[in-house]
Amino acid sequence: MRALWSGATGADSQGSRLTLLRPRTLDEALAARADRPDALVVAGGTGVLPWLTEGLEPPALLDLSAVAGLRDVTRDGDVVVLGAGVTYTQVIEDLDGVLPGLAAAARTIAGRQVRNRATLAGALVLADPSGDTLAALVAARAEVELAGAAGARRVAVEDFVIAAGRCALGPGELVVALRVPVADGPTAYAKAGARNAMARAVCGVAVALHPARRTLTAGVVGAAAHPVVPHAAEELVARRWGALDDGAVTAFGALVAEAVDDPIADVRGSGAYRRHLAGVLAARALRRAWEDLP
Amino acid sequence: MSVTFSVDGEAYEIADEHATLSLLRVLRDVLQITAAKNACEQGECGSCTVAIDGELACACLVLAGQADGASVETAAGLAGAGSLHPVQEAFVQAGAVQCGFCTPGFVMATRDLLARNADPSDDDIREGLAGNLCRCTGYHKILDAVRAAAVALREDAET
Repeated sequence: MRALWSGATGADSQGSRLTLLRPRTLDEALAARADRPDALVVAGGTGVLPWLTEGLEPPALLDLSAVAGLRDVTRDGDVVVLGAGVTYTQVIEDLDGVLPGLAAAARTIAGRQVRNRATLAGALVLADPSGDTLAALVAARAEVELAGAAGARRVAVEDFVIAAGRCALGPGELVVALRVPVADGPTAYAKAGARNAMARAVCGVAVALHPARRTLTAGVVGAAAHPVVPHAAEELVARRWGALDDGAVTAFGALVAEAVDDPIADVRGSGAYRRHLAGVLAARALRRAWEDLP
Repeated sequence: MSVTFSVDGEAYEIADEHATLSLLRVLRDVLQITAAKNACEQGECGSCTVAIDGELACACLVLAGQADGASVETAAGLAGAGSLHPVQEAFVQAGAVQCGFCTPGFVMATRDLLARNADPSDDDIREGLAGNLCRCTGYHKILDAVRAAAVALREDAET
């Protein structure tokens, strides 16, 4: 039985021992974060609530869901600024035009109930290396905007997610926004998992084409303990841009697989399987995106 | 800090020590509202599906305190006086209810799907209801129910 929540029913039902902090503004949130560095931050709740159900008893909960403006989406030139509270559903329904790669990845996540609440920022902080939007964010060369007592700073997404469960958030810091460049070419996301929905990516590859620069950027999730940027594979496409034949696509896949130099082995698949998937999915994603080139 | 929200039109005030329980636990254990079920309590099964300010959610993934000021709807609030909601009626008529445990969640998810897509294909239905599991029916009758509900709601809209 759950440690926190067993007991009688009704108004006398055994309550929870946790303290809930619920700031209304970003300043209040940062102050609370500085004041209670031991508080567990929760926003969408889809990552944290199962931990609480399993008996985790953090000294306090710092809930960001009431912070004004955290779900706002704004533009800063060619960059879309997603507040840290922006959910997958918002990306799918409102941003498919400017961030199609991110929307495509978001559509593969969980089910409707989870997508309505779960935040992209939360996925970055939880640092689950299979996070689908991580692949698209890396392919888009997005940045995480952090705020804390020491001020504001930006970190590239691929540098922010360091390992499974470990991100670059410093003490007293909060993610306040994601800065995602507007897509300037076709994108695609190819994912393999146990089911068509409600499944983590055993491997997921996002690609973004930039025809004006004749380059490709990509991101791989699920295969390693952190998102992978397949640099050599990207360079190949830039070199072969005008003449991208089947051989080049296959070579691209092989280079993406090679870029996963320390693959995860777990119940969902061996390391070799994940590397194989990375190659197959990379070639598939490239073909799909290439078909959409004007 | 006091937490207040409405459930199916009735207002409730939640004590501080209940604000850090999940909304599901508050609904069932504190308020004795059982229309949201508890099967997995991890957001995988959808049996606790409710709508919060019109947005579909798993009540087990929401802190009760996060629902402050919100309007929560459960399947129990859908029926009118003396008649079931068209989605409920469709599930009953299609034989889509066996043990019934998943049904309230499926009814809420179906209502949400059909509000966004009035004429869903089978693929749309499967995707729209991907967050809900049924262990009894094998889903065929559930798909029948959703198709029938879509027709009924479109007919209601036209009259």
